[in-house]
Amino acid sequence: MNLPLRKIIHVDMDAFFASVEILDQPSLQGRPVLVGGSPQSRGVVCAASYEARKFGIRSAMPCAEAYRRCPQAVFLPPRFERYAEISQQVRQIFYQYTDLVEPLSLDEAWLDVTQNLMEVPSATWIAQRIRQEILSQTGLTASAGVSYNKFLAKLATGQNKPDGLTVVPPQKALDFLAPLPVGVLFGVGKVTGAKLVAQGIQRVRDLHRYSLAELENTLGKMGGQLYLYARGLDFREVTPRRERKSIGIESTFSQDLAHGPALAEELENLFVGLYKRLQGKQQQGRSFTLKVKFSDFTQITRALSQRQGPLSFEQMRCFAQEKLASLWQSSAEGRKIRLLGLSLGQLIHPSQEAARAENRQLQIFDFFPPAT
Amino acid sequence: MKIRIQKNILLEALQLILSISPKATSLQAIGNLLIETDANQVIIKATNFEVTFLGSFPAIIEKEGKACIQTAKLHNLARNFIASEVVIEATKQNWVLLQNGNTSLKLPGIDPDAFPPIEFKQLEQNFVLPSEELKLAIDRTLFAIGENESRKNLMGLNLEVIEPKSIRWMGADAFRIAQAITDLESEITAKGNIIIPKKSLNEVKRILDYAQGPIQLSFDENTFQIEAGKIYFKTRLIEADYPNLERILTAMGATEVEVPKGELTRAVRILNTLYDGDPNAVMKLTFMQDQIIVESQKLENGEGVDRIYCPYAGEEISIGLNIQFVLEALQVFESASEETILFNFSGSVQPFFIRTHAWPQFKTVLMPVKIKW
Repeated sequence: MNLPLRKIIHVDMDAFFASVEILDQPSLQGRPVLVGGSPQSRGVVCAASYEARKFGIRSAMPCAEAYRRCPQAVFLPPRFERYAEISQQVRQIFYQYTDLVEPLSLDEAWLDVTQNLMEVPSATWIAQRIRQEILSQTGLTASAGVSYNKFLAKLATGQNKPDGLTVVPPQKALDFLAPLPVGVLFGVGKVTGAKLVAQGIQRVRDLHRYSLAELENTLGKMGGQLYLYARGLDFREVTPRRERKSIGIESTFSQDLAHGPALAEELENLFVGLYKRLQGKQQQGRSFTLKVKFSDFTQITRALSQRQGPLSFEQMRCFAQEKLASLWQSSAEGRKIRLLGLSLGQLIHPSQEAARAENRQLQIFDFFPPAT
Repeated sequence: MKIRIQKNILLEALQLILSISPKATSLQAIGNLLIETDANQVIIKATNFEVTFLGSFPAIIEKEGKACIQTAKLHNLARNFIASEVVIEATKQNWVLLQNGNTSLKLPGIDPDAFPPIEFKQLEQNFVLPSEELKLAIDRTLFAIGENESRKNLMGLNLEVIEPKSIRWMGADAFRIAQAITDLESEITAKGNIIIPKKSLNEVKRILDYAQGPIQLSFDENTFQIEAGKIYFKTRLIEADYPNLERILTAMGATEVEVPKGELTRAVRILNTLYDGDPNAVMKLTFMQDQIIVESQKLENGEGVDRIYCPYAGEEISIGLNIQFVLEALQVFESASEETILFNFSGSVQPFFIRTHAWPQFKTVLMPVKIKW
C-alpha cells in the first residue's frame, strides 16, 4: 500500500501541572512537587515533578502512598484554570505552524505539519522551533516526537523526556520499534500484556513472528491493531478539535457519608466545581449523570436527559437530591456513600445553539389555525 | 386449580400481557394475572385499568379453579423452563406450585377474588377489519403521533369513519401528520371518531402479530376494543377533540418531484450520523435542475453535503427540514414496493408532502424549518 507519508509531531509538556506550580512558585525549584490531594486524603497524584519521580512516584498513585515514599514532597491542590490558561498559550504556538492540531489533553497534542503554514519542509525543524517558543513564552519545557504517523510520533516523545526531541524517520521505524517492550504499544495494558508474555512476546520484534490471523485469533480486534503497530503502521489522521463528549467531576470523601447535611454540602461543592468547568468551556448539556459509590464499593448511576434545550443547574440539582434521598430510603442497610460524581453529556456549543436559534421549526398550528 | 399447559403457549400469552401488568404498583392485584379454567382451556386476564386483556389458551384441566400470580415473575421463570409442559397448581392458601421437568417451584400468589372484575361487552360502534389492514394503519402513522402532554388530543391515533366504506387513521404532532385511509369491502354502520392512546398501540400490534385473520373492532365514547380470535383487548380513549387538519392535508403543493428512495434515505442517514442523532438537527433540500442537494447546517460538529439526481425542471428552491422527522417518515416508506418516493411542495415554508405511487391512500406532511443559511 503506497500512502503518502505524513509529517506528524507529538508534543508533550514535561510534568505539566507540577511544572506550572514550580513556575508560579520558584521557591519549589529542585524540590519534589506533587499535584493532587493532600497526603491525608484518599485522593490520587495528578502530576509529579521529575524530582518526585525519583522516589518512584507516578500519576494516579494514592497520595498516602506517595507520602510514604517521599514525606518531604510538597503536596499541592490542582489549579485547572491556570493549567488551561497556559495550555491555550501553548496551542496558539502550534496554530502558527498548522491548523491540523489534535489536542489529547491540556498538556499533549498531535500536529500534522505535512502542509504547514510556514511552508517549511522539515518537521524536525518545526518541532525544535515549537519547543523553543514554548520555553521562551511560558518558561516551561516540552518534549516532542517526530515521525510519519501518530503512533510513532507519540512513542518517540516518550523516549527522550524531559526536554527532549526524538525523530523516527520511515527507514528507521522498524529498528526503533524492535527492541521496545510490547507494553509501550497503545492498548497493551496488564491483561493483554500478560497474554502476550504467555505467548513469549516480550518485545515488539517478537510480534513479527505472528501472522495477522494468529494475532486476531488470540487478541481479537486488538491483535490486528498490534500487527500494524509492530510494523510501524497507523492510518489515523490528525483530527483537529477533538470534541469532548462530556464534562464531569467527582469526589471521594475523606470519610464515608450518610444521607444528611454533610452529603448535601459535598453535592453542592461538586455542582460548584462542575459549574466552573462549564464556564471555562462555555458549554451546556442535555444529559446529566449522577454517580454514587457506596462504602462497599458498589456503584450505581442515575441519568436525566431532555430532548430539547440544555438542562439547567436547578433541574440537575433537584434530580440529584431526589435520587440520593430515594437511594437512601431504598437501601435497607442504610449504606454510606464513599464517592459522588456528576457528569454532563450531549454537550451543546453556544455558537452552535446560536446558529440553530436562527432556524425556526414551523408548526402545523401557527401555519393553519385548526378549526376544531 | 391444576392445569397443564405447553410452555410455548404460556410464554406467548405472557408476552402479550407483560407490558400491561405493571411491575411496580401499589395495587398488588394489577401486577398479577388471573388464570381461570374453562372446559379444555384457560382464560388469562390482565389489566392496569387503562388497558385490559382477556385471552383463551389451550390447556389440560386437571382440577378446575383460579390462580393469581405475579406476571413478570411467571414470565421470567417460564423463560428458563426447559421441558415442553408446565403444570400450574393453586392451593387453597394461594400458593402457586409450578412444575416443569425436574424443576418444582412454590410461589406465593394472591387471592383470585382480589383481582379486579373484567368484563367485555359489545360496544355501540363496531365493524370487522382484516388484521393486516389494522397493522398497516398503525405502522404507517405511529411515528407521527405526538408525545407532548400539553397537546393531549394529539397523543393518540385518530380513527375516523369518514364514509360507510372508508376509515381514516391519523397520527400527528405539532410538526407533522401521517394519514392512511382504509377502503372497506362492505359498508359499515359505525360512525364518528375516537383517539386511541399511542401507548396502547404497541399492545394492539403485539396482539395482531399473534392473531391472524379478521378483527372485530368496536368503540364507544370511552373505550376502544378489539376481538381477535380468542383474544379480547380494550383500552380507554383519550377524551378530547381531535383537531381538524383537513386544510393542511388538502394543501398539497403543485410541484411534484420523484426521488430515488434508497439514495435519499442513505443521504439523510449520513447527516443523522454526523449529528449523532440530534433531534433538533436541520437539513436543507435544494431542488435544482435535475438534482437535489441534501445539505447539513455548518456547525461545530461538522457538515455534510450529498447530491441526488432526479428529474426536476422548476425554479431553484431550498427547503429546511428536521433530519429526524425526515428519517422517521422515510422509514415508513421502506416497505413500499416502489423504488422512488414523491415530494410535493409549493414553497420553502409551505407543508412538505411525502408519498409513494405504491400507496395512493397514504401521505405524510412535514412542516418545514425556516432557515437563513
